[in-house]
Amino acid sequence: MIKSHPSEGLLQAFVAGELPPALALCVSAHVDMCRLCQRDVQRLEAQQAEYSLEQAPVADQAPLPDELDHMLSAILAMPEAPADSPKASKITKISKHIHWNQQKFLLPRALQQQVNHQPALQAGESWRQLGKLWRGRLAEHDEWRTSFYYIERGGEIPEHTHKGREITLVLSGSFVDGDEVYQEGDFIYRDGSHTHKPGADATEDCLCFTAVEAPLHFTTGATRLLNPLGKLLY
Amino acid sequence: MASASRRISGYTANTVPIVSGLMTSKPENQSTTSADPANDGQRWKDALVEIAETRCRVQYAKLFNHFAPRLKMFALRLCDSNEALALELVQDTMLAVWQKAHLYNASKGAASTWIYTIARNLRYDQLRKASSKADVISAEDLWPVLEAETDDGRSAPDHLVLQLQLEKYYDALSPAQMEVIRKVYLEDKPQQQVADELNIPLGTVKSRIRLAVQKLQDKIEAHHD
Repeated sequence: MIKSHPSEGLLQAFVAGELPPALALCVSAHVDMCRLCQRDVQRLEAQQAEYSLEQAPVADQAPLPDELDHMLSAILAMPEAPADSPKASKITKISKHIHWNQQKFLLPRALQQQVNHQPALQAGESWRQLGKLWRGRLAEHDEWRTSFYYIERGGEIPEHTHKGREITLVLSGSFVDGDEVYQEGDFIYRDGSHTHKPGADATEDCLCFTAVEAPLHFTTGATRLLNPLGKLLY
Repeated sequence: MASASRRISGYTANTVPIVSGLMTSKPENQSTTSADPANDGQRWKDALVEIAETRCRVQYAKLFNHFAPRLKMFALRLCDSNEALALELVQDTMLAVWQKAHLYNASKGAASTWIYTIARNLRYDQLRKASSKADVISAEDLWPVLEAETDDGRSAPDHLVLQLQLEKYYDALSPAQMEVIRKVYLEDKPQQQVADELNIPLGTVKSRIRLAVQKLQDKIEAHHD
Protein backbone atom coordinates (compact mmCIF):
# COMPACT_ATOMS: atom_id res chain seq x y z
CA MET A 1 0.00 0.00 0.00
CA ILE A 2 1.54 3.25 -1.14
CA LYS A 3 1.26 5.87 1.61
CA SER A 4 3.54 8.67 0.46
CA HIS A 5 2.57 10.53 -2.72
CA PRO A 6 3.68 13.68 -4.53
CA SER A 7 1.70 16.73 -3.37
CA GLU A 8 -1.12 18.08 -5.52
CA GLY A 9 1.07 21.10 -6.32
CA LEU A 10 3.87 18.85 -7.54
CA LEU A 11 1.47 16.83 -9.70
CA GLN A 12 0.12 20.08 -11.16
CA ALA A 13 3.61 21.34 -11.99
CA PHE A 14 4.43 17.95 -13.52
CA VAL A 15 1.32 18.03 -15.69
CA ALA A 16 2.02 21.61 -16.74
CA GLY A 17 5.52 20.69 -17.94
CA GLU A 18 7.16 22.99 -15.41
CA LEU A 19 9.39 20.61 -13.42
CA PRO A 20 13.13 20.06 -13.91
CA PRO A 21 13.43 16.86 -15.98
CA ALA A 22 14.99 14.78 -13.17
CA LEU A 23 12.11 15.62 -10.85
CA ALA A 24 9.58 15.00 -13.63
CA LEU A 25 11.08 11.54 -14.14
CA CYS A 26 10.55 10.67 -10.46
CA VAL A 27 6.94 11.88 -10.51
CA SER A 28 6.29 10.03 -13.75
CA ALA A 29 7.77 6.79 -12.38
CA HIS A 30 5.66 7.08 -9.22
CA VAL A 31 2.53 7.69 -11.29
CA ASP A 32 3.27 4.49 -13.21
CA MET A 33 3.20 2.63 -9.89
CA CYS A 34 0.22 4.40 -8.29
CA ARG A 35 -3.41 4.13 -9.43
CA LEU A 36 -4.51 7.06 -7.26
CA CYS A 37 -2.00 9.45 -8.78
CA GLN A 38 -2.77 8.11 -12.28
CA ARG A 39 -6.36 9.23 -11.80
CA ASP A 40 -5.31 12.64 -10.50
CA VAL A 41 -2.85 13.15 -13.35
CA GLN A 42 -5.44 12.23 -15.98
CA ARG A 43 -7.88 14.72 -14.47
CA LEU A 44 -5.24 17.47 -14.35
CA GLU A 45 -4.11 16.72 -17.90
CA ALA A 46 -7.66 17.08 -19.21
CA GLN A 47 -7.97 20.42 -17.36
CA GLN A 48 -4.61 21.70 -18.58
CA ALA A 49 -5.31 20.64 -22.17
CA GLU A 50 -8.66 22.42 -22.05
CA TYR A 51 -7.04 25.54 -20.65
CA SER A 52 -3.85 25.58 -22.77
CA LEU A 53 -5.25 24.36 -26.09
CA GLU A 54 -9.03 24.67 -26.30
CA GLN A 55 -9.39 27.98 -24.52
CA ALA A 56 -6.34 29.56 -26.15
CA PRO A 57 -7.28 32.86 -27.83
CA VAL A 58 -6.64 31.61 -31.36
CA ALA A 59 -9.09 32.21 -34.21
CA ASP A 60 -9.91 28.92 -35.89
CA GLN A 61 -10.59 30.48 -39.27
CA ALA A 62 -7.34 32.41 -39.62
CA PRO A 63 -4.97 31.15 -42.31
CA LEU A 64 -1.87 29.40 -40.98
CA PRO A 65 1.21 31.59 -40.61
CA ASP A 66 3.97 30.65 -43.06
CA GLU A 67 6.13 28.70 -40.63
CA LEU A 68 3.23 26.45 -39.61
CA ASP A 69 2.08 26.03 -43.20
CA HIS A 70 5.58 24.83 -44.12
CA MET A 71 5.58 22.55 -41.12
CA LEU A 72 2.34 20.93 -42.26
CA SER A 73 3.79 20.33 -45.72
CA ALA A 74 6.96 18.85 -44.23
CA ILE A 75 5.03 16.47 -41.98
CA LEU A 76 2.81 15.23 -44.79
CA ALA A 77 5.89 14.78 -46.98
CA MET A 78 7.48 12.39 -44.46
CA PRO A 79 7.58 8.80 -45.70
CA GLU A 80 5.10 6.54 -43.95
CA ALA A 81 6.77 4.19 -41.48
CA PRO A 82 5.52 0.66 -42.18
CA ALA A 83 3.90 -0.79 -39.08
CA ASP A 84 6.12 -3.87 -39.05
CA SER A 85 9.48 -2.31 -39.80
CA PRO A 86 12.53 -3.80 -38.05
CA LYS A 87 12.75 -0.57 -36.07
CA ALA A 88 9.30 -1.13 -34.60
CA SER A 89 10.11 -4.65 -33.47
CA LYS A 90 13.28 -3.35 -31.85
CA ILE A 91 11.22 -0.97 -29.76
CA THR A 92 9.06 -3.76 -28.43
CA LYS A 93 12.21 -5.53 -27.25
CA ILE A 94 12.84 -2.95 -24.54
CA SER A 95 13.83 -4.72 -21.37
CA LYS A 96 11.58 -3.89 -18.46
CA HIS A 97 13.98 -4.92 -15.72
CA ILE A 98 17.13 -3.87 -14.00
CA HIS A 99 19.50 -6.57 -12.81
CA TRP A 100 21.35 -6.44 -9.58
CA ASN A 101 23.16 -9.15 -7.69
CA GLN A 102 21.43 -12.00 -9.54
CA GLN A 103 18.06 -10.45 -8.86
CA LYS A 104 15.79 -8.90 -11.42
CA PHE A 105 13.58 -5.90 -10.64
CA LEU A 106 10.66 -4.74 -12.75
CA LEU A 107 11.01 -1.01 -13.42
CA PRO A 108 8.19 1.54 -13.75
CA ARG A 109 7.57 2.31 -17.43
CA ALA A 110 9.05 5.82 -17.20
CA LEU A 111 12.42 4.38 -16.12
CA GLN A 112 12.56 1.49 -18.61
CA GLN A 113 13.29 3.69 -21.60
CA GLN A 114 15.94 5.69 -19.73
CA VAL A 115 17.75 2.62 -18.48
CA ASN A 116 17.75 0.92 -21.88
CA HIS A 117 20.31 3.44 -23.14
CA GLN A 118 22.76 2.22 -20.53
CA PRO A 119 23.43 -1.53 -20.70
CA ALA A 120 26.17 -1.44 -18.03
CA LEU A 121 23.81 0.24 -15.58
CA GLN A 122 21.01 -2.15 -16.44
CA ALA A 123 23.21 -5.20 -15.96
CA GLY A 124 24.42 -3.90 -12.59
CA GLU A 125 28.01 -3.61 -13.87
CA SER A 126 28.64 0.10 -13.53
CA TRP A 127 27.48 0.33 -9.94
CA ARG A 128 29.82 1.69 -7.29
CA GLN A 129 30.04 0.45 -3.76
CA LEU A 130 30.16 2.38 -0.53
CA GLY A 131 29.87 0.17 2.53
CA LYS A 132 26.48 -1.49 2.40
CA LEU A 133 25.38 0.82 -0.31
CA TRP A 134 25.69 0.59 -4.11
CA ARG A 135 24.95 3.34 -6.50
CA GLY A 136 24.19 3.18 -10.22
CA ARG A 137 24.21 6.65 -11.73
CA LEU A 138 21.60 7.26 -14.37
CA ALA A 139 22.20 10.84 -15.45
CA GLU A 140 23.13 14.38 -14.52
CA HIS A 141 20.99 17.32 -15.46
CA ASP A 142 22.21 20.77 -14.49
CA GLU A 143 22.07 20.69 -10.69
CA TRP A 144 20.32 17.34 -10.54
CA ARG A 145 21.65 13.79 -10.40
CA THR A 146 19.54 10.70 -10.78
CA SER A 147 20.68 7.32 -9.50
CA PHE A 148 19.60 3.90 -8.43
CA TYR A 149 20.60 2.84 -4.95
CA TYR A 150 20.77 -0.67 -3.68
CA ILE A 151 21.01 -0.73 0.12
CA GLU A 152 21.73 -3.99 1.89
CA ARG A 153 19.54 -4.75 4.87
CA GLY A 154 20.61 -2.56 7.80
CA GLY A 155 22.76 -0.33 5.60
CA GLU A 156 22.42 3.41 5.81
CA ILE A 157 23.58 6.65 4.27
CA PRO A 158 25.60 8.83 6.73
CA GLU A 159 23.53 11.57 8.35
CA HIS A 160 23.26 14.55 6.07
CA THR A 161 21.43 17.75 5.31
CA HIS A 162 20.26 18.62 1.84
CA LYS A 163 21.30 21.77 0.13
CA GLY A 164 18.48 21.22 -2.30
CA ARG A 165 15.60 18.88 -2.89
CA GLU A 166 15.91 15.11 -2.75
CA ILE A 167 13.34 12.67 -4.07
CA THR A 168 13.46 8.98 -3.26
CA LEU A 169 11.17 6.50 -4.94
CA VAL A 170 11.15 3.04 -3.35
CA LEU A 171 11.21 0.41 -6.10
CA SER A 172 11.54 -2.69 -3.95
CA GLY A 173 11.92 -3.62 -0.28
CA SER A 174 11.62 -1.19 2.62
CA PHE A 175 13.29 2.13 3.08
CA VAL A 176 13.62 3.58 6.58
CA ASP A 177 13.99 7.25 7.40
CA GLY A 178 13.72 8.16 11.07
CA ASP A 179 10.57 6.55 12.43
CA GLU A 180 8.98 6.08 9.03
CA VAL A 181 9.13 2.90 6.99
CA TYR A 182 8.43 3.34 3.29
CA GLN A 183 7.43 0.58 0.91
CA GLU A 184 7.39 -0.10 -2.80
CA GLY A 185 5.94 2.85 -4.72
CA ASP A 186 6.34 5.41 -1.93
CA PHE A 187 7.50 8.83 -3.11
CA ILE A 188 9.56 10.70 -0.50
CA TYR A 189 10.21 14.39 -0.96
CA ARG A 190 12.82 16.23 1.14
CA ASP A 191 13.91 19.82 0.89
CA GLY A 192 16.98 21.75 2.05
CA SER A 193 15.89 22.09 5.66
CA HIS A 194 15.82 18.41 6.49
CA THR A 195 18.63 16.47 8.22
CA HIS A 196 18.33 12.70 8.05
CA LYS A 197 20.08 9.35 7.93
CA PRO A 198 18.00 7.09 5.71
CA GLY A 199 18.71 3.44 5.06
CA ALA A 200 17.30 0.01 4.37
CA ASP A 201 15.06 -1.88 6.77
CA ALA A 202 16.89 -4.30 9.10
CA THR A 203 15.10 -7.29 7.59
CA GLU A 204 15.25 -6.73 3.84
CA ASP A 205 17.35 -5.08 1.15
CA CYS A 206 16.06 -2.02 -0.62
CA LEU A 207 16.23 -0.76 -4.20
CA CYS A 208 15.32 2.85 -4.79
CA PHE A 209 15.59 5.55 -7.40
CA THR A 210 16.66 9.03 -6.37
CA ALA A 211 16.95 12.50 -7.79
CA VAL A 212 19.16 14.85 -5.79
CA GLU A 213 19.59 18.56 -6.34
CA ALA A 214 23.09 19.87 -5.56
CA PRO A 215 25.46 17.88 -3.38
CA LEU A 216 24.39 16.62 0.02
CA HIS A 217 25.87 18.25 3.07
CA PHE A 218 27.08 15.69 5.58
CA THR A 219 26.74 16.59 9.20
CA THR A 220 28.67 14.10 11.31
CA GLY A 221 32.29 13.29 12.13
CA ALA A 222 34.96 12.51 9.61
CA THR A 223 32.47 12.40 6.79
CA ARG A 224 32.17 16.16 7.13
CA LEU A 225 35.55 16.24 5.45
CA LEU A 226 33.68 15.15 2.38
CA ASN A 227 31.61 18.29 2.20
CA PRO A 228 34.07 20.20 0.04
CA LEU A 229 34.15 17.07 -2.08
CA GLY A 230 30.39 16.70 -1.93
CA LYS A 231 30.25 15.86 -5.59
CA LEU A 232 32.00 12.59 -4.79
CA LEU A 233 28.91 11.07 -3.36
CA TYR A 234 25.93 12.42 -5.15
CA MET B 1 -17.59 11.40 -44.32
CA ALA B 2 -17.12 13.61 -47.35
CA SER B 3 -13.41 13.83 -46.73
CA ALA B 4 -12.94 10.08 -47.07
CA SER B 5 -13.59 10.31 -50.77
CA ARG B 6 -10.99 13.07 -51.06
CA ARG B 7 -8.34 10.94 -49.41
CA ILE B 8 -5.07 10.95 -51.24
CA SER B 9 -3.42 7.58 -51.23
CA GLY B 10 -0.03 6.71 -52.65
CA TYR B 11 0.96 10.33 -52.53
CA THR B 12 4.17 11.80 -53.81
CA ALA B 13 6.00 14.89 -52.67
CA ASN B 14 4.32 17.08 -55.27
CA THR B 15 0.85 16.33 -53.95
CA VAL B 16 1.69 18.06 -50.70
CA PRO B 17 1.36 21.71 -51.68
CA ILE B 18 -2.05 20.91 -53.09
CA VAL B 19 -3.22 19.61 -49.73
CA SER B 20 -1.87 22.46 -47.67
CA GLY B 21 -3.05 25.02 -50.21
CA LEU B 22 -6.46 23.47 -50.03
CA MET B 23 -6.45 23.89 -46.30
CA THR B 24 -5.59 27.56 -46.23
CA SER B 25 -8.63 28.25 -48.41
CA LYS B 26 -10.76 25.92 -46.25
CA PRO B 27 -13.81 25.67 -48.48
CA GLU B 28 -16.13 23.64 -46.24
CA ASN B 29 -14.76 24.52 -42.84
CA GLN B 30 -17.37 27.17 -42.05
CA SER B 31 -20.27 24.80 -42.28
CA THR B 32 -18.78 22.08 -40.04
CA THR B 33 -17.47 24.35 -37.30
CA SER B 34 -19.69 24.16 -34.26
CA ALA B 35 -19.92 26.65 -31.43
CA ASP B 36 -20.73 23.84 -29.03
CA PRO B 37 -17.51 22.75 -27.31
CA ALA B 38 -18.84 19.23 -26.67
CA ASN B 39 -19.47 18.73 -30.38
CA ASP B 40 -16.09 20.22 -31.08
CA GLY B 41 -14.48 17.64 -28.79
CA GLN B 42 -16.31 14.84 -30.62
CA ARG B 43 -15.24 16.30 -33.93
CA TRP B 44 -11.51 16.04 -33.09
CA LYS B 45 -11.95 12.58 -31.63
CA ASP B 46 -13.53 11.45 -34.88
CA ALA B 47 -10.81 13.19 -36.87
CA LEU B 48 -8.03 11.36 -35.00
CA VAL B 49 -9.76 8.00 -35.41
CA GLU B 50 -10.23 8.64 -39.11
CA ILE B 51 -6.60 9.70 -39.51
CA ALA B 52 -5.50 6.47 -37.84
CA GLU B 53 -7.78 4.28 -39.92
CA THR B 54 -7.57 5.87 -43.35
CA ARG B 55 -4.45 8.09 -43.15
CA CYS B 56 -6.72 10.90 -44.27
CA ARG B 57 -4.53 13.86 -45.12
CA VAL B 58 -7.42 16.31 -45.33
CA GLN B 59 -8.61 15.48 -41.82
CA TYR B 60 -5.04 15.76 -40.58
CA ALA B 61 -4.65 19.16 -42.18
CA LYS B 62 -7.85 20.33 -40.44
CA LEU B 63 -6.62 18.99 -37.13
CA PHE B 64 -3.26 20.69 -37.72
CA ASN B 65 -4.98 23.97 -38.56
CA HIS B 66 -6.83 23.85 -35.27
CA PHE B 67 -4.14 22.61 -32.92
CA ALA B 68 -0.77 23.78 -34.28
CA PRO B 69 -1.32 27.52 -33.57
CA ARG B 70 -2.61 26.67 -30.09
CA LEU B 71 0.29 24.34 -29.43
CA LYS B 72 2.64 27.08 -30.53
CA MET B 73 1.28 29.46 -27.89
CA PHE B 74 1.60 26.78 -25.25
CA ALA B 75 5.11 25.85 -26.45
CA LEU B 76 6.28 29.46 -26.40
CA ARG B 77 5.21 29.69 -22.78
CA LEU B 78 7.01 26.43 -21.88
CA CYS B 79 10.15 27.37 -23.80
CA ASP B 80 10.46 30.85 -22.27
CA SER B 81 9.53 32.46 -25.58
CA ASN B 82 12.37 30.76 -27.44
CA GLU B 83 10.76 30.64 -30.89
CA ALA B 84 13.07 28.01 -32.40
CA LEU B 85 12.62 25.59 -29.49
CA ALA B 86 8.87 26.17 -29.47
CA LEU B 87 8.53 25.44 -33.20
CA GLU B 88 10.63 22.30 -32.79
CA LEU B 89 8.27 21.19 -30.04
CA VAL B 90 5.19 21.89 -32.18
CA GLN B 91 6.69 20.00 -35.12
CA ASP B 92 7.73 16.96 -33.04
CA THR B 93 4.28 16.88 -31.44
CA MET B 94 2.29 17.22 -34.65
CA LEU B 95 4.53 14.66 -36.39
CA ALA B 96 3.85 12.21 -33.55
CA VAL B 97 0.12 12.89 -33.91
CA TRP B 98 0.33 12.06 -37.64
CA GLN B 99 2.47 8.95 -37.24
CA LYS B 100 1.03 7.56 -34.00
CA ALA B 101 -2.65 8.37 -34.40
CA HIS B 102 -3.37 4.62 -34.11
CA LEU B 103 -2.21 4.79 -30.49
CA TYR B 104 -4.94 7.26 -29.54
CA ASN B 105 -7.69 5.67 -27.47
CA ALA B 106 -10.87 7.72 -27.81
CA SER B 107 -12.46 6.09 -24.76
CA LYS B 108 -9.65 7.38 -22.55
CA GLY B 109 -10.05 11.08 -23.18
CA ALA B 110 -10.28 14.05 -25.47
CA ALA B 111 -8.06 14.47 -28.52
CA SER B 112 -6.76 17.72 -27.02
CA THR B 113 -5.68 15.88 -23.85
CA TRP B 114 -3.80 13.29 -25.88
CA ILE B 115 -2.04 15.94 -27.97
CA TYR B 116 -1.29 18.05 -24.89
CA THR B 117 0.28 15.06 -23.13
CA ILE B 118 2.48 14.26 -26.13
CA ALA B 119 3.72 17.86 -26.23
CA ARG B 120 4.37 17.93 -22.48
CA ASN B 121 6.34 14.66 -22.58
CA LEU B 122 8.37 15.82 -25.57
CA ARG B 123 9.15 19.02 -23.69
CA TYR B 124 10.59 16.97 -20.82
CA ASP B 125 12.66 14.99 -23.36
CA GLN B 126 13.88 18.24 -24.85
CA LEU B 127 14.88 19.52 -21.40
CA ARG B 128 16.55 16.24 -20.54
CA LYS B 129 18.69 16.30 -23.67
CA ALA B 130 19.59 19.98 -23.31
CA SER B 131 20.65 19.68 -19.69
CA SER B 132 22.33 16.31 -19.51
CA LYS B 133 26.07 16.48 -19.60
CA ALA B 134 29.04 14.23 -19.57
CA ASP B 135 30.32 14.47 -16.02
CA VAL B 136 33.20 16.84 -16.62
CA ILE B 137 34.49 17.15 -13.07
CA SER B 138 33.87 13.47 -12.97
CA ALA B 139 32.33 12.26 -9.79
CA GLU B 140 32.57 8.86 -11.47
CA ASP B 141 36.34 9.04 -11.71
CA LEU B 142 36.66 10.18 -8.14
CA TRP B 143 34.21 7.69 -6.76
CA PRO B 144 36.68 4.74 -6.63
CA VAL B 145 38.40 6.65 -3.84
CA LEU B 146 35.39 5.88 -1.73
CA GLU B 147 34.94 2.26 -2.63
CA ALA B 148 35.57 -0.25 0.09
CA GLU B 149 38.69 -2.07 -1.02
CA THR B 150 38.12 -5.33 0.80
CA ASP B 151 35.17 -7.19 2.21
CA ASP B 152 36.18 -5.93 5.66
CA GLY B 153 34.66 -2.60 4.81
CA ARG B 154 31.22 -4.06 4.49
CA SER B 155 30.92 -4.90 8.15
CA ALA B 156 32.11 -1.47 9.30
CA PRO B 157 29.66 1.38 9.77
CA ASP B 158 29.47 3.37 6.57
CA HIS B 159 31.08 6.52 7.91
CA LEU B 160 33.99 4.51 9.23
CA VAL B 161 34.56 3.12 5.76
CA LEU B 162 34.69 6.65 4.45
CA GLN B 163 37.09 7.62 7.17
CA LEU B 164 39.46 4.74 6.44
CA GLN B 165 39.42 5.52 2.77
CA LEU B 166 40.41 9.10 3.41
CA GLU B 167 43.19 8.16 5.81
CA LYS B 168 45.66 7.19 3.13
CA TYR B 169 45.61 10.79 1.97
CA TYR B 170 46.37 12.31 5.35
CA ASP B 171 50.15 12.19 4.79
CA ALA B 172 49.65 15.00 2.30
CA LEU B 173 49.03 17.27 5.27
CA SER B 174 51.58 19.08 7.42
CA PRO B 175 51.61 18.07 11.12
CA ALA B 176 49.92 21.37 12.03
CA GLN B 177 47.15 20.84 9.48
CA MET B 178 46.71 17.22 10.51
CA GLU B 179 46.35 18.22 14.15
CA VAL B 180 43.53 20.63 13.34
CA ILE B 181 41.81 18.13 11.03
CA ARG B 182 42.01 15.42 13.68
CA LYS B 183 40.47 17.59 16.37
CA VAL B 184 37.75 19.13 14.23
CA TYR B 185 36.70 16.19 12.14
CA LEU B 186 37.72 13.04 13.94
CA GLU B 187 37.19 14.20 17.53
CA ASP B 188 34.27 16.36 16.43
CA LYS B 189 35.31 19.43 18.46
CA PRO B 190 34.04 22.95 17.76
CA GLN B 191 36.59 25.10 15.92
CA GLN B 192 36.71 27.63 18.79
CA GLN B 193 37.60 24.89 21.28
CA VAL B 194 40.38 23.67 19.00
CA ALA B 195 41.71 27.21 18.77
CA ASP B 196 41.73 27.45 22.57
CA GLU B 197 43.42 24.06 23.01
CA LEU B 198 46.17 24.86 20.50
CA ASN B 199 46.41 28.44 21.68
CA ILE B 200 46.04 29.83 18.17
CA PRO B 201 43.53 32.33 16.74
CA LEU B 202 40.24 30.99 15.35
CA GLY B 203 41.18 32.43 11.94
CA THR B 204 44.28 30.24 11.88
CA VAL B 205 42.18 27.13 12.60
CA LYS B 206 39.88 28.03 9.73
CA SER B 207 42.70 28.70 7.27
CA ARG B 208 44.47 25.45 8.21
CA ILE B 209 41.26 23.52 7.58
CA ARG B 210 40.76 25.25 4.27
CA LEU B 211 44.32 24.53 3.13
CA ALA B 212 44.14 20.95 4.38
CA VAL B 213 40.92 20.21 2.55
CA GLN B 214 42.35 21.79 -0.60
CA LYS B 215 45.43 19.56 -0.31
CA LEU B 216 43.33 16.45 0.23
CA GLN B 217 41.24 17.32 -2.76
CA ASP B 218 44.32 17.87 -4.96
CA LYS B 219 45.83 14.64 -3.79
CA ILE B 220 42.69 12.61 -4.39
CA GLU B 221 42.31 14.09 -7.83
CA ALA B 222 46.01 13.54 -8.70
CA HIS B 223 45.68 9.94 -7.56
CA HIS B 224 42.95 9.35 -10.09
CA ASP B 225 44.25 11.26 -13.08
